[in-house]
Amino acid sequence: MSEGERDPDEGRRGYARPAQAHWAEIDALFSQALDLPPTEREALLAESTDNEDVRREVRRLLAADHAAEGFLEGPLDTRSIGTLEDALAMSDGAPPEELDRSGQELGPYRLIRRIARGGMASVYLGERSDGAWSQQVAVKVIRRGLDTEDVLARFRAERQILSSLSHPNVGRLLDGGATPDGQPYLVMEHVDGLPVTDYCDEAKIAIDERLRLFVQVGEAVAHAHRSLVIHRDIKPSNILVTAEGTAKLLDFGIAKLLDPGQWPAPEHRTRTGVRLMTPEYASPEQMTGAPVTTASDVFQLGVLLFRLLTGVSPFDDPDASPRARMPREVDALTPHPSTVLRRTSEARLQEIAAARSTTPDALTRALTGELESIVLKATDADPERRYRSAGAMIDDVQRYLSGHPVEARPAGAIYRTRKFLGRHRWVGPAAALVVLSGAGYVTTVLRHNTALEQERSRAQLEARTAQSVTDFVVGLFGATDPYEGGRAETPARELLDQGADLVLTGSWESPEVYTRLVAAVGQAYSDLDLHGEAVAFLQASLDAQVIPPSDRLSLESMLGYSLVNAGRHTDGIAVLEGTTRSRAALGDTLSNEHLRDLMMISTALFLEGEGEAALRASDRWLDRVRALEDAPDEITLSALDRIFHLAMGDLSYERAQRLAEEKLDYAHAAYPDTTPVVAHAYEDLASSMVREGRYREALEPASKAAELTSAIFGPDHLTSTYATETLASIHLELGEPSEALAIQRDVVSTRIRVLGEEHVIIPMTRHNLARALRAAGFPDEAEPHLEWAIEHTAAAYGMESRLTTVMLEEMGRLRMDQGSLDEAERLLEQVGARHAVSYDATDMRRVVWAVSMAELRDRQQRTDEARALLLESAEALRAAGMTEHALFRRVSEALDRITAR
Amino acid sequence: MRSGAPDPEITRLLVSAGSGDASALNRLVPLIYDDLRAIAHRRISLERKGHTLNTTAVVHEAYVRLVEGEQPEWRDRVHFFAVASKVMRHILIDYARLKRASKRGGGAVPVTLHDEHAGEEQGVLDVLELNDVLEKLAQHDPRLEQVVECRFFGGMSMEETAEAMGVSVRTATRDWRRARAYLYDALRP
Repeated sequence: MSEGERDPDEGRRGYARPAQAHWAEIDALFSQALDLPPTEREALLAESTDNEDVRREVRRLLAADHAAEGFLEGPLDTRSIGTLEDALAMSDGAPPEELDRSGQELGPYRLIRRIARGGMASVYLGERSDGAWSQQVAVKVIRRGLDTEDVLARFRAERQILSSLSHPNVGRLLDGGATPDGQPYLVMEHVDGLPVTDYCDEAKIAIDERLRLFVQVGEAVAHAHRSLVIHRDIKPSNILVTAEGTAKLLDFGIAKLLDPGQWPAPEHRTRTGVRLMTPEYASPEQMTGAPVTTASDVFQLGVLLFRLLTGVSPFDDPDASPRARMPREVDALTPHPSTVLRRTSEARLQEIAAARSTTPDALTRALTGELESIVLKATDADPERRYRSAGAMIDDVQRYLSGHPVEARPAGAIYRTRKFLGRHRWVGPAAALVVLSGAGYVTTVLRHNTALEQERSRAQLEARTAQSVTDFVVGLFGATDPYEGGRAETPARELLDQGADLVLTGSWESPEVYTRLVAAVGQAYSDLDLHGEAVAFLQASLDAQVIPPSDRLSLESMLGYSLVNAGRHTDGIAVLEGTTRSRAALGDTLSNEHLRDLMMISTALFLEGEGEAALRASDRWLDRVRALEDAPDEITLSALDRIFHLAMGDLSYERAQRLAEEKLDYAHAAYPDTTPVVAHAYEDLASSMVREGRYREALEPASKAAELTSAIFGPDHLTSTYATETLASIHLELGEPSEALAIQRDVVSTRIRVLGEEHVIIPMTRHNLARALRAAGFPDEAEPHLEWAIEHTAAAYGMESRLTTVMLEEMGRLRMDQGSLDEAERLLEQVGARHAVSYDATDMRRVVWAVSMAELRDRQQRTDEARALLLESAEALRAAGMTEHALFRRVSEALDRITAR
Repeated sequence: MRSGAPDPEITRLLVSAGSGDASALNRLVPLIYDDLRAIAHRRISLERKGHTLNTTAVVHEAYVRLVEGEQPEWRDRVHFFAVASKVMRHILIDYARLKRASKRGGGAVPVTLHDEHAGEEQGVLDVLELNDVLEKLAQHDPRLEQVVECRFFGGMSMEETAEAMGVSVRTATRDWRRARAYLYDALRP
């Protein structure tokens, strides 16, 4: 493939750029510097090397380390790299290499050293070079890509307003201009301090003290609002706290100054896609591009407060539990701070509490109630419902600090429910809603647009009461492959997590309503195959003892399925035995629910290693399913599918074959040929026949499976190549090597083209090609493929692995065909010894080996040994009842040949 | 589609890996490959709209299905995660390559994983590109490759990663920062 030929270094920056010889030195220095506080790193560089190239590279890497906070990172990291800077840099294509301007003079300022670099600008520590005053300044040199003239014009217009902001908590804008090469720069008050979050965490500042720091920030914002200046980008990195504990809000109005979307010039209108904001902190208005008002700053203050209190951002979920992380919706509800804490891992919570000089319990308590109300009011998606000004918000925080009741009121459950429902009414093709009906019943409703969605919805609703069906649904999903593109997907997971929050944090009119909601959430989690969560919610709803017995039963069944699926098989069996007994006591022995319980018990038994018992149990319920007049096809299908796999796993191939045939009939009746369900049914039928050695019969379903998978998934798809490879192996067993060879050659070239030669599956694939080549009479052509396969397999899994052993056996046969009998003997003996350890005497693999070995002995004129081996094999096969197996025929024929001579 | 029963063979290999048999880990790969692929496949289907794949969830789910019934120790669990991370890398690269292959002629559209920043519109990462860079990095220092496999492809915690690599958390964290900085430097737009 073309990208394989491309030099991966081409056009790359970074580690690949410095001479390889220096890599070790750069990396070692970089490693050391990482352990030092930023302020000591320059000293390390100075004393460690004279090579300026090396120093520059290390600085680059340190900058990358800084910028890469959160890059590739799990949900625990709350900072974003998707900042203003990056958005701007993106809009201008690849940013040009930024030269270090340290030492240069810009107007009356001398740049001392660079202190920060981002996609948008570099910031230098500077001082007046004309000695007018000695104060240090921060000089922000804006990256090329903004039209300098525009920036300057705009800057002049704004400057008067911005410089009027004189407040102890505002970092001032002092001056601005353009560099000789035309890049705009801004001169600002230099603040020597730490970002507010770092400052608070390092000094383990308690909640009340954090609130006082927050008040400083809020006052700065309120002051600016009185001057009609909006900050637009309030976030921790823009708030520095000095050693004296003074908070300074930086970059006032800079976002507006630099936002191309705000500019009148027509060429900038084309960039409307780029919005200057920090997504984590952006208000809904900013996200939609609606006019930004002071209410937007209030929103950002609310997010900041959330972050200061909890250590995480409300819209960047720190939860370590598996949740989908998706872009936040424009009007996402702010989660309750205490809820976010509850979902945080124990260790992280300890850490967060320690950074606030308190305990997890005390912290969670402190964040429930009034503080929570303040945060939620400030961050309401509707600007009208927020504090009317930054000042009003600060007043409320002050009221809290002085022990007075706050103005913010908890948003009512009804309000939040309405928002939740209203928000999702138009969400899209499929939305899971937790709704309350008039009678207090709870249902999970799935809305769908297309026919396929409806099909899926039906299947999902079934899945709610039968986990087994989920396997079936997954089969159906096979058609909508990630690499097929196409259908939009349900953000069900996200909706559900929000729904769960809502249920847990809302206040509901009665315990029964609450309990039913909890149960509904549990059911919905089960739909999504999130069984750990499902068990927790379902168990909680049952424990509450407020649900009437008739409804309890189906919840208990559901709990049983989730337990089994969560791997707690014996717990699941116990619950399900309870439900089957209860249903039997009610006279119900034929309902779908009852049958599903029985089916699940058999599955759980199988998972527990009780194969026999599982098959017995499954027989019972399969008989009942068959007896039902109106059993839905998918229930019957998934039942058959489940038992088919039980039978295969239990090595009952004959029975597996019967089940596969029945399954195919059902699939044919219920679905068109172009669905994966049908294709897989053919595949299963073929594989059960292959296991029985009925290769001739397997040919037809295997061909059909190959044809259908190619049509459904495309011939290049891995699924299709599996099906065609099975077909090739059948031809090989049937003594039709040229057919096998033609197919296998295709499989090899397709897989190498699509997956690359290094892929784990390629050695196996080339081994199969070697087999076909040898069988077709081209041992010399087979040899390089087989050698390659063995080398790679041994490297990946070891010389002793079963896979390597299988390939060595093939090599033994190859050597035999090439006439190297000694080499063949050595290999086959080695393989035989390993097989004896790995497999039972009747295992097919040992029989296959014995047939090969017998052939070798025969060629070596050691006829007696050959005959003994064959007799032994025949006996083993007979004992296993495998006289119908193709292998038995081969053994018999070989015996006949030897005896005839 | 295939329901994986907890496999005693897997647990046995995990235990021997824990007692120092390095080849045991390699022998695990073919045993868990299909299940991981099936799980990843299903989750990608479920979460397609967000183009997200919660790799932690995939690996944990595979663990629950294939091992948990056998109740191995924490160390075994970490070894499983480490192998699963490696396999996940293969699987995701497969997906990306398949996607690229299926788009032949229509211009290469990389399969992407949003990195974890909610709302980050431009944070689209080309896993094939990441893979290329990672292979280069591995030539300099294999630990850099390992730490990225654990953290990014397997969604493992720092503690688990350190245990899997047999180094202190401090060292693992430093390795992670190094790897991340190199990758960021090479991959950012």
